[in-house]
Amino acid sequence: MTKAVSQSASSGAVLSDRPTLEVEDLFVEVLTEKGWATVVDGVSFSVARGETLGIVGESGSGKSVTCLSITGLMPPKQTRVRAKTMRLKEHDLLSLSPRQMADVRGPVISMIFQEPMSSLNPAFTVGDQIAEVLRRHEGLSRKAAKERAIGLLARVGVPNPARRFKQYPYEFSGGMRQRVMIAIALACNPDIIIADEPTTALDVTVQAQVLELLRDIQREHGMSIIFITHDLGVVADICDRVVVMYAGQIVEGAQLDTLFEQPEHPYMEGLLAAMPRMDNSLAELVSIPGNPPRVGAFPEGCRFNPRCKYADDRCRTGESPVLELAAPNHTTRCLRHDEITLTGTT
Amino acid sequence: MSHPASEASPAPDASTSPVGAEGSVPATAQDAGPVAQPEPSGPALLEVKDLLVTFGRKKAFRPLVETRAVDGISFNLYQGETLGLVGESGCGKSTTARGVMRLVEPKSGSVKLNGKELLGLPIKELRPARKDIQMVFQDPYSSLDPSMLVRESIGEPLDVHMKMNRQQKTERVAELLRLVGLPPDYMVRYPHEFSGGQRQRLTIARAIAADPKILVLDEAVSALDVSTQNQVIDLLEELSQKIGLTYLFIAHDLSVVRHISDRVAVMYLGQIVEHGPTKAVFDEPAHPYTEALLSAVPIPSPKTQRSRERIVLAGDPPDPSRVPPGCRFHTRCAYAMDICRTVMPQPTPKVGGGEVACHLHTSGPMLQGRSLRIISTGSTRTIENDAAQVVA
Repeated sequence: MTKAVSQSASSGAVLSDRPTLEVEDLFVEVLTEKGWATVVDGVSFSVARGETLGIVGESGSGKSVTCLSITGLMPPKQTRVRAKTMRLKEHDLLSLSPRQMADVRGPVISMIFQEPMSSLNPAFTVGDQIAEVLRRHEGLSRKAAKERAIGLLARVGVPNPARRFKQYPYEFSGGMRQRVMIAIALACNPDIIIADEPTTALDVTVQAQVLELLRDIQREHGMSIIFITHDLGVVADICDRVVVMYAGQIVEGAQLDTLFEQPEHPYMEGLLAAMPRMDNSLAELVSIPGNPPRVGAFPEGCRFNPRCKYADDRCRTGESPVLELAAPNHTTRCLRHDEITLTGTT
Repeated sequence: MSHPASEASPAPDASTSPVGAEGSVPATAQDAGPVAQPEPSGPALLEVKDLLVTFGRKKAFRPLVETRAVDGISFNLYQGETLGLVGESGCGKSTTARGVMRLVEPKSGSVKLNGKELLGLPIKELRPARKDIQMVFQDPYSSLDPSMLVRESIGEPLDVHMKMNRQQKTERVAELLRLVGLPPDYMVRYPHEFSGGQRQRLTIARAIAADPKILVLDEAVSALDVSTQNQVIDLLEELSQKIGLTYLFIAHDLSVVRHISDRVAVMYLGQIVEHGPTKAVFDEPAHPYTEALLSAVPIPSPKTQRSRERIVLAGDPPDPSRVPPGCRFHTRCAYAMDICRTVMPQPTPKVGGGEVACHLHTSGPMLQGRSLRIISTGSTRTIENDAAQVVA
C-alpha cells in the first residue's frame, strides 16, 4: 500500500509530462541538544511544470525544512538528509556536490524568503545583489548584468529602476524589498521558485500586489512555484494543488478545491473550521484543542491523535498511519477516513 | 487641525466629533443622511478626543522633520464592548494605544478614563488612575521576563496596585491562572516552559491581575498559529462575559477583527477614515480605503476567492512624515476627484451608524453615507496612479 501510494502521489499531477520536481520519502534529521531528531519524516510530492503547489502547516510542521533540504541550504554538519528520490529536472539532487548544487540554485531552482530585510545584504546596493546572480551564473559583463538587472527591477514593478539600482536595501519599503527578492529569484529564469511565506510579513494590500505579481510572472514564464504558507486564504488565492503537513509528515494532499470542499483528514477539517472568515462573522470559530507536538516528542500512533475528536484506540497505538488514497489524486494519513465524514467549506 | 489644506474645508469643527457621539456631527450632514442604529449610549468608559502624537526626527544641518503618527483621532469606548482598530503597518494604531496609556506622551488632545483626564496628570497620580486600563502585547516571548517565575510576573501588578500579603497574593495568582485556563501549580514555572499560546494566557492573566476595566490588546493574537489563536480569542470572549472586560482590539488581521469586534475603526496615515458597527463597516464599506483593504484579504474558500472583485492598490502607503495634502488617501484612491487633492474630508454620518471621512459622500456622487458598492464597477480593477509611484 505504502509503495503504491507514494508512486501515485509523485505522479499525481494533472499534467501528463514528467514533473519538474520529484521528491520521494524525504527524511531530514537535525542535531538538537538531545541528539538527532527527525523533523521531516517520509515526505513525498511532485510539482508539475507551471503548477503552484501549496505546502500548508503550522510552525514547526517541517514545511520550511523540507524546502531548505531540497535546495541544499540546511547547515550540513547539523543535518542529515536522505531520500529515495530527489530529482529536479535532469538533476539528481542527492548525488550533487555542494559546488554542483550551487550551479543548480539560480538557473533551475531559486527561493524567496519571508523576511526581505534579513535576506538582502545591507552593505551592498540592491542592483549589485541582482547583478551578482547574473554574473555568477551567466557570466555576464558588469555592464550587461546591470542592464538586465534594471530590466528585472522594472519587471517586478519597482518604479524608477535605474535610480533604484544604485540604492541600498534600507531605502526600500517592505513590499519593494520583497519585489527585489523576487527579481533576484527570477534573474536566471529558474524552472521552479520556492516561496517560503513570502507575504507573511507584508500588509494585506501589499500582499495582494505581490501575489498578483507572482501570478503574472508564472503566466509569462510557465515556471512552477512551491508556495509555503500557514494562511489558507493565500492558499485559496494562488495554489493549484496542496499538501498539508503536520509534525513532519504530509497528512493530506489534493487538488485545491477538493481539499477545501471535502477534506479527508481531521487536521485539515480543524484548520478550515479554525480560520476566521472575513465574509462571514456569524460562523463560530472552532479551536483545535491542545498544541502541535514538539520536535522529538511526537506521540505514538497517529501524530494528530491527542488533538483529534475522531481518534479511537487504533489511532493511539503503533506506528503512525501511512498515506492512503481516499479518492483519485487525494491522499490522507487518517486511519478512519472511510468511517468518518468531514466538513469542508464552500 | 493644523494641516494647511484643512483650513479651506467647510466644517472644520466636525473633525473633533468623537467616534460614537452622533450628536456632534455637522447639521448639514445630519440632514442629508438617515442615521439608523445609534451607537452605544450612556457615558463612555474611555473618551479619546483629538489625540495628537508626533515624533520628531532631527538630522544634522536639516530642519526638524515632524511625523504626525496619530493626527487628531477621537473615539469612545463603552462598557462591555470590543472596539477593533484596524489599518496597515505605520498607520498609527499602536501609537494610538500607547498614546492613550501615555507610554508615549501625546502632544495634545484629551484622554478621559471614567471622566477623569489622564493627559497632564503627574506620574504619581497617573499610576493609580491607569490601573483600570492594561495592555497585552503581540510577542508573548519578549513580554515575559525569562528570569521571573510565573508567580512573580503575574504578581507584579498586585505589588504595584494592591497591598497584598504573601498568602493573598498566592491565592490571587492561583485564581488568575484558573481564570485563563491554566493549572494553578504552573505558578512556580519559568516562561520558557510554556508554548506561545500558554504564554499569551500568562500575559493576559498579568494584565487582568489588578482588576482593570479596559484591556488594550495590541496584535495580541497575531503571533500565534491558527489553532492556538482561536483558543486565546475564546478566552478573551469568556473573560469579557465573566468579569465584564472592555477591549480595544488592535490588529491587522481583518478576519479576526470581524469576529471579535462590536464596532470597528479603520485608520489610514494617523487618522480614522471610517468607523461604525462591525457588520456595517465590513458589509457596506463607505470609504474607498476600507473597500480596498477588505478586498485584499484572501478568503479561505477557492470558489469565493476566484469570484470576488479585487482592488489592487498601487504603491505603498505614503511616508507618515510626508503626508499628501487634501485627503491622505487620494494618491492611491480609484475614485479621487479634484477636491480630494486639496481639501481634507470631514467625518459624515454613515447609513447604519458610524462615520466616514470621504468627499464622495458630500460632493461628486453624493453618497451621503451609503455603501460604496453603489458606484463600484463590479470587476477587477488595478489602480494605477502616478502620484503613488512617485511617493513609493
